[in-house]
Amino acid sequence: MSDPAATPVAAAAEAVQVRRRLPLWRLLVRDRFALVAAFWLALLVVCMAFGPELLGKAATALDLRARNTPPGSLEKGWLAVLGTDALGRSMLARLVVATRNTMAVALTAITLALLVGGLLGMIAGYVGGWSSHLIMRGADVLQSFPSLLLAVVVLYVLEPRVSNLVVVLAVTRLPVYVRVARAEVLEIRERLFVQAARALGGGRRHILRRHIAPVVAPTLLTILTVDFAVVMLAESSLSFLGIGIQPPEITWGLMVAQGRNHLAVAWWLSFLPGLAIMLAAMSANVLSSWLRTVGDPSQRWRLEAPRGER
Amino acid sequence: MSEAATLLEVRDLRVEFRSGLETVHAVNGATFDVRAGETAAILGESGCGKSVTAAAIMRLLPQPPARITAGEIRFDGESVLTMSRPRWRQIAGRRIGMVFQDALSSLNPVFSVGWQIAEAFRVHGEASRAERRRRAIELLDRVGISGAATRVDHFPHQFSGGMRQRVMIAMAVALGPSLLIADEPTTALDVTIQAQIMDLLASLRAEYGMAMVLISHDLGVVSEVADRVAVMYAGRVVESGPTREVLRRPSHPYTLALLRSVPGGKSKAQKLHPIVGSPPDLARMPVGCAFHPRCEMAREICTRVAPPCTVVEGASGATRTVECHFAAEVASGRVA
Repeated sequence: MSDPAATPVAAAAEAVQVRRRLPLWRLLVRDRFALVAAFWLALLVVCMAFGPELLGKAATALDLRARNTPPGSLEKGWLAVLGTDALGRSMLARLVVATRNTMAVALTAITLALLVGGLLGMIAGYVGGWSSHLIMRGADVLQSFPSLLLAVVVLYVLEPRVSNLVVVLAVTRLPVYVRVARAEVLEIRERLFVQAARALGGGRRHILRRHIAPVVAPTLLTILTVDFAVVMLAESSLSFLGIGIQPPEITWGLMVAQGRNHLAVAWWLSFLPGLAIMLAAMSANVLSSWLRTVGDPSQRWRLEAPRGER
Repeated sequence: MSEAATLLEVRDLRVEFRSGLETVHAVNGATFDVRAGETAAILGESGCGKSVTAAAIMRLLPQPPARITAGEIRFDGESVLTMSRPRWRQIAGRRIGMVFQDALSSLNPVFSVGWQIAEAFRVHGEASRAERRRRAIELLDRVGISGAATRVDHFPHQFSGGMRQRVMIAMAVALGPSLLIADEPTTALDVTIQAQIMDLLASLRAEYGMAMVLISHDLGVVSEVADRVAVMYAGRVVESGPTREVLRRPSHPYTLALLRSVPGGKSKAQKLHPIVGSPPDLARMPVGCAFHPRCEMAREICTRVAPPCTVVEGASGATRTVECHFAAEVASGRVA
């Protein structure tokens, strides 16, 4: 390329060379929204990891003299900066401690739904025939049944344990993933590159895993981030009905539910955990759309190009 | 060359597509051979069953709606249509490669071209990861992509149409197959690139000693590269034989008409003769010879009896097969 007669084309090609393959963290820094979202989610991970150990005591310590302290002042100590609840417990501590349960339930449930639903949907789409019918009618049944009712029945019959809760939440979200995965596969399997893979001697499993799944995955991941909030709220409804997470364990959803009784006098009891749910879901959404861009070879340049060129 | 062993045999292949109301007979008894090392072309206008035949050979037909109702395809003596799926997977890619018409949609948009070329090795469980990459770079270089070592990590959308077709070809020949099926490999490309791709295919064919089935509607391309040609019309091979023989002295009216509908290049004054009418509705095939409604020399018998396959002795002693009642007359130029 040092040839002085190098064509502009060659120079452009070189520029492309230099720009390609920035490390992931550099791409993250370039997208401010994604950066903030990543920070927020990282903070949540820290809360998940250490919250109950660090603030577990503070989250359950009653202080009846400091009941329903409004947020925004440090008079009652730094733990009360986000206010206190009806029993004078620190909202900050409770929010931090609740992170683990909330995330554990929601993340496991949607991950489970994604994996199982995605797999079933891909099989239904690619294999077709009676297996497709079986899977799709199953999804129909699940979807035609009000999901809350289903959860109530199941959790009433079984014990309201956390594992049961997770499974029930996952099952109620399953049909969405099955349908979307199947629809995507129906389209993708007709694409020529799948034929090309078959012409190379690729078997069904190979093609599903290597050629179809990577194309379906971004769509499912996007749904996952939306479902994140839906599942957290569903969990809160169940907790509100007394068949979800059982006190003294806490989750954000449970906090929203419990705060509802005091909404007129202490809005922050419901508002703050609600805000936490919303921010977590939004961050997940922003980050997933960033990931989608990074993961799509024909979109990645948007992040790699300098700001002015986008 | 004509003594080489037969590599691919297609015998009386019939493929139909069933929809609710009608059955479309896409291929109606196609018969042809491909010998080891030779280039055989399947020539015909669009809708004549060329690509369906290729898909049938590669077991790529979606069944249903497609159905292979009769016939046999033998590759190296083994029946392709009846062999087990695992056995076929050993042959596809390794012994038969395929190049598709539209290279962009034949490449997976989410993987680098290197990954996709390495796919051939991966599917057949060959070579380590580093080895696969090295061979992918080698192949890219071989098909004429400069800077292969960096281009190997690029994605399909970063390549031009001609380069994508080169990548497709690299994928198809990765395992050194003995047969390459090229389904209109240059149709989507402009003329200069077409020539380059055909040159590339020819040189690869010589290098690997591959046989090639070239599916094309382009008389120019076929006459340049094919050793033998099979002319297809309405799902049947109406004439087949050595390319020079067939194109110099066509003995089927359809071949003749096809030749006269292409600009000759020698004299501008020569008028082109388009083939009147349109190809038959494959759901309602005419009785007798499928070409008779458009044939200038059709007689009464053509509307009743489907012409048998006759062997015609060519000038140089080479034989060819023709399906026309009046093949001898057409060949001698007495009619038309």
